[in-house]
Amino acid sequence: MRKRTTAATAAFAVIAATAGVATATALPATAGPSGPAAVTAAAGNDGRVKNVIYLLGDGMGRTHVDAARLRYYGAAGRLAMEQMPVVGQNQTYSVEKNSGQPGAADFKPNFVTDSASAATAWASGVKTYNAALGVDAKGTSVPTVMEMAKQAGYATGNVSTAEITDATPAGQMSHALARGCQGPSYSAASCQDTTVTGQPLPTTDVRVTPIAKQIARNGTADVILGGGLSRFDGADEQALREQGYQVLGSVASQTVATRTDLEKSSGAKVFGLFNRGNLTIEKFKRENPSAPQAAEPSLPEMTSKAISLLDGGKNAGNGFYLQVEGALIDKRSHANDAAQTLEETKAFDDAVKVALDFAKRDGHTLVIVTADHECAGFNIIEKGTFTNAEAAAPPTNVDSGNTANNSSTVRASGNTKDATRSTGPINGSGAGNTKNFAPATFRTADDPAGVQDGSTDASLWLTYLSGNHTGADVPVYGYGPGSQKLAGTIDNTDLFDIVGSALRLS
Amino acid sequence: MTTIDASGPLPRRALRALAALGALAVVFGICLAAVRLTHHGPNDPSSSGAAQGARPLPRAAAAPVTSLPGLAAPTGDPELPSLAGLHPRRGAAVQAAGPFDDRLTLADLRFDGKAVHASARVTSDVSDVLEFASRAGFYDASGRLVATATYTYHLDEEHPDAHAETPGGIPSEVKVFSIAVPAEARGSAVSAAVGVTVLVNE
Repeated sequence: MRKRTTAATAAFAVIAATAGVATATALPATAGPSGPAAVTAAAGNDGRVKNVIYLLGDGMGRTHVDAARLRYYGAAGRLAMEQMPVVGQNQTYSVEKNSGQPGAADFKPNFVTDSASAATAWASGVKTYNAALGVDAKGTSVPTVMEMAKQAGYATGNVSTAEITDATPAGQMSHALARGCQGPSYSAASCQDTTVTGQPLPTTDVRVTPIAKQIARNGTADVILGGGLSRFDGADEQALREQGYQVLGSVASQTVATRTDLEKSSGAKVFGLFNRGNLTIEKFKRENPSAPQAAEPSLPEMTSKAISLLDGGKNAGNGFYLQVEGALIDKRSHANDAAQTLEETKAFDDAVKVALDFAKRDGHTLVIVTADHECAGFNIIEKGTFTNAEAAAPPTNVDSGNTANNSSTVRASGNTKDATRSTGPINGSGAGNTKNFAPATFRTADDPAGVQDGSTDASLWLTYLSGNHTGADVPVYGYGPGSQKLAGTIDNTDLFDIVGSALRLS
Repeated sequence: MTTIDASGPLPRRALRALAALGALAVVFGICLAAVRLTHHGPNDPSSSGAAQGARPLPRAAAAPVTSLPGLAAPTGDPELPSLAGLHPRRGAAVQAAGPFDDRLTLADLRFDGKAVHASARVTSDVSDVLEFASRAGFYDASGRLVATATYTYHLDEEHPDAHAETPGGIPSEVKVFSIAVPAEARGSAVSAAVGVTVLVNE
């Protein structure tokens, strides 16, 4: 009798305990970020975000991506960013000075943004005027997501191929009425904006403090890599060291850091600037391997090192937020140099691959790739054709079959090449003509061997519309938990919410 | 030898014991689930690295960083220290060293007794010049610095022609400027030096 009871009791206990454990196993491991995970558990991701890597191709429009793909991988190929599972597009407009936010009665949009207002949009979630950093259109300072992440305990990093005081990196770690207030010195003309503030602000106000001074003292970014050494001085270096930064090179003596310095760097906080101005384009470094500039690290190298510093050592376990900017896409698009633009886009995509490789290994990283605006109206034209800029007159605009379709100022003829404005591919037979509007031509992986860049046989024909920004939407790519929020058409201010939500900051 | 007889109903006391044990096991399972729901694993930023110990949950910061302890506020526009070390000869206009000399070339320097004139061509960048400032020093016959003055340029994005060339077909990356001799030095200034103190491209 007793043994029967004991046996039954034991059997029942095992069954009940098994049911309890099964119940526990069926429940999710954690209350993760809002929305379902974009990658299945089989891919090593259970929906939790520990890190966000935000990569920004400055000036990188849709055609920049297309052209780089065709150039380096052919029509059937894909850039690394194009292999990310989530695709969307990003509206980039800014607003006028003193404008309200969208929906407000005093809302005044500006259809073409600059890098500063775009950076403020994704860093702080507000529309602002061109040139403003970390302030809204009425001049009020607003927190950045990097500040919030830092104060929440994440490690933070800011990497750029531009001066680190330039708009895109500065948008995360400074507050300035005017992006021109970069340093090393304050000046009223470059730092004040009485159109916004009414009266000049006292020079103790952060909004008129040179950006370099802010970066050197606010500790917002733990890892800072890029250019712009001439914006900083010896007092800034002292301030950095007092906060525990490892300073590569020497700010006081204006000695730039090198790739070797970067490779040797360690610790939780690293400050490394590799040029007194912007970093050098990849094309020059590739063609001049013995030049001093060849000692500058590339964007993929800086990205890789930043990730290792933020994810390891004293930062291990904290999680991190890293912004990476490929700045020279924009700067060389302003110059209408397609060859340089292509190589900078490729370098940026290589940095994207570094981030994706880490994210796939890590399993808890959201990767976002986008741009602030398109630059210069980059476009692919049909082989053998010509652009308006090369033409003697605009195209004809009549419809002889139905004259009701004619445009109002009739052009019955036109659209012929002007020999003085089109003297052959600008990277080929027309290279010596500084007033040449002809396209640049490039071979691709689909061209037969022997086809040269600059020849009319090359299949990729690239042109620019102007030397300035355009108002086109730009692409967005996403990978990792929460990335599905990037799909479709979003506004650049939405990126602040998406990153903040992923890191549980808002 | 005692045999186990599993046939027949269990006594009431045994049934109560079984029920209690079963309930305990289910409660155990529920507690295990609760622990999994709330446990902060190694990938949660609120958990610590082994070296740091436990840390509180992250809190969103709502305030921007606006305090920069230890930074002395400037009292005015930047000086150009190199002006003090120059002693140009009578009638000369020379370049004074500045922080952006590797980004531009100064040319066409001349002093006409009333002002110093020059042109600065930015060579490091082709995007619009957002900010430009040059500082001039004026010297007497003994080469002593007697006065300074500044030229500033600021790209006004609100101006409809903000990105257009300046009159005369001068591209935006070239700044042609003149800096007049201040009133206190008129009559004594016989030479000048000029350097660039502010330069920002878009």
